[in-house]
Amino acid sequence: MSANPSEVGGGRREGSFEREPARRVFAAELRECRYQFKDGTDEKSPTFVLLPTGERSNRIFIVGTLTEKTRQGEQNAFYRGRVIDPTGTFFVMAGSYQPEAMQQLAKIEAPAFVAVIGKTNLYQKPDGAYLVSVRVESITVVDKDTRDLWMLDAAARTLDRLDALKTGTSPDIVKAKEQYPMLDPVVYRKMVYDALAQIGIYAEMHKNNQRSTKIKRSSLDISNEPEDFRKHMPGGGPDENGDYGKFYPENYDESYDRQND
Amino acid sequence: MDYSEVTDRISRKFSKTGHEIDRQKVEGKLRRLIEEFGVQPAEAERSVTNELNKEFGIAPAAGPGAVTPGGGATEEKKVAGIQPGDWVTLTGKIVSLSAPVSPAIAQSGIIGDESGGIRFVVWAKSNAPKMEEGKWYRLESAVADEFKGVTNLKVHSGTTITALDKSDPLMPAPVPVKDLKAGVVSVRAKVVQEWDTTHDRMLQSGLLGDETGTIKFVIWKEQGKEKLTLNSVYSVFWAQADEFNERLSLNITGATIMQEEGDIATVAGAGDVEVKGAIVHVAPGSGIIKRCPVAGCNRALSRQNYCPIHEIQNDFIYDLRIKGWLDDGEKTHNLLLKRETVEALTGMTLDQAKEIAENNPLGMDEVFLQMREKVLGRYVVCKGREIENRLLANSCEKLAFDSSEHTKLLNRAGGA
Repeated sequence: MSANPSEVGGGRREGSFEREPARRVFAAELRECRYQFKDGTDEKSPTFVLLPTGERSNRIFIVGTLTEKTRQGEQNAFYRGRVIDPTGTFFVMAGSYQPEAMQQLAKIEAPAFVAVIGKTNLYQKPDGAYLVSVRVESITVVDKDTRDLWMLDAAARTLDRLDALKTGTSPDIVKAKEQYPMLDPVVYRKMVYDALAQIGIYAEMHKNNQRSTKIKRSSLDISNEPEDFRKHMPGGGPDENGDYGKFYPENYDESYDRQND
Repeated sequence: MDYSEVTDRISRKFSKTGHEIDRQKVEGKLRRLIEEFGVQPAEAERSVTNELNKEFGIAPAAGPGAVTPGGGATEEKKVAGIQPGDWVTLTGKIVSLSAPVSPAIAQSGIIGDESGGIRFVVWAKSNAPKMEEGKWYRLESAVADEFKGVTNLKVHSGTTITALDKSDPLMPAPVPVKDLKAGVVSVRAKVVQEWDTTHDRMLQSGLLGDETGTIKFVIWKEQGKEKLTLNSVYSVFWAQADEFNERLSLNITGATIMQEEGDIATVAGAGDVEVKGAIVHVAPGSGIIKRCPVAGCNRALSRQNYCPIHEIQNDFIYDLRIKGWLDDGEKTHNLLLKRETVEALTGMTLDQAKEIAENNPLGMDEVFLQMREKVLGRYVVCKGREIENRLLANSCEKLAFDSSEHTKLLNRAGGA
């Protein structure tokens, strides 16, 4: 009730305090957010953006590549950065209200794998375009393993949300269906698939196949997508049992690739 | 006021046991209590009756005002059948003796028979002969009453104790954990958790479990007491189950404990909970800390070596810990890691941390920063027990990439 998520990492042990969990979401989904709401009327009530897959997000956890960072402002300096995942870009920022985070970000040399915990906020630019920015609570340099683990985590959570969307009746799901009537779960599944395909052996395979690995922004907006996503998969997708196993032999080599091309 | 009616009643009670009372004296006492001291008549009657009881060497009764004549009402009972208020005669074995908690008590412990065990106290005033642990006795005219919700037995001056020439072993049948009730109990269970002791008089505390449930246990420091081993199975006879805040806990300090061979099944969740997630915050107070050296205190000191209880303590003890938040995307758990876990997770030992704290210009802050860099944003799997959303982890390891999970997710994403 008196949850106060504006308190960075408030670790106080009030009985009622429950920290808002950090959602796992891919960049391509986050940038589609168009709806933001407050839970409660208090000035300090938490603000949530509504993810298109039907879950509220006050805070997110992302692991990606920090590709650039810029310092802006003189008196009230703040940092902006771009963190990319296989599906797109997260726009992160840390200002003087997050001195710890700003110092952490200032120290990091791009490019680097980073883990970011931050608050999600939806803005509308003067030209009417929407932007979801991530206000950094903390950012640390991590290794590729952590990035890969995050990809699995984000994929699993996104698929969980898509599954829940089918039959779920939670207020967030109802609201999402109202706010994002054009949402096509198939497009999101493809996004997840393509992101996963960038890990390890699958990434090698992908490079050779020269498939499009990023979803174009427009592809998420078009509801009559897609052509059968299975076409994008090496080997033509799952068999009639939904099994992919045989398409990803353990002793994968180039000849396999040629034969499929 | 006329006291003859009350005096008659008292007189009748005592004449049943063959005692003659001095009516005038009794009336005088009653008058004095009621008129001079403003005592309620019923209370005065009770008070005078008790005084006469003592005079005649009759044991006081359990119920207020009720005088039970010696002999007649006492029943030969088995331990399991004893109810509060009973006058009982029983034959049992002293299975454990514990240190008396008050000078008014000469001996306290547990007496058992085939049906179960019961706690007893021997009043110092009873002048009863000392009983020995492991020997059999016949107790005549002891009184059962209730103390903290548990029936126990009082040995008073009216109780006759006879030592018996008997040395039969006594092995009570263990009771499933979920069926335990306050009192003297026996269980066969596994040590599923070992907790940090919260008191300097405590030898060990933790959780015992069988396939039906779990129960907290404690062993207090006493001569010759030994700790139980984690994940071992024990038969615990004659332990004291106490109820506190509607939860049972088992005091096995005085119990007969036998380690068993093999393993038993324990109820799900008896052991540790496991949380997989990312460490999303490392709180201040993590890293290397100083603790109060006063025995049993162990509180974290402030930077100025100030303990909230024992004030300035310059002979502090260094320790490592990490406090933070572990987030699985759905729920955020308050995480607390102790030294061993911190060392394993960060690869920094207490000695290394001490070295940094004492020689680096940033001191203890440097340890905090280095540890934060090592764990923040990392995926870990933590095992431990969770109390009110606080996860006290016994182990916390970095999660490894699982390619079968990867394949599963690919299929799930593509296969819908």
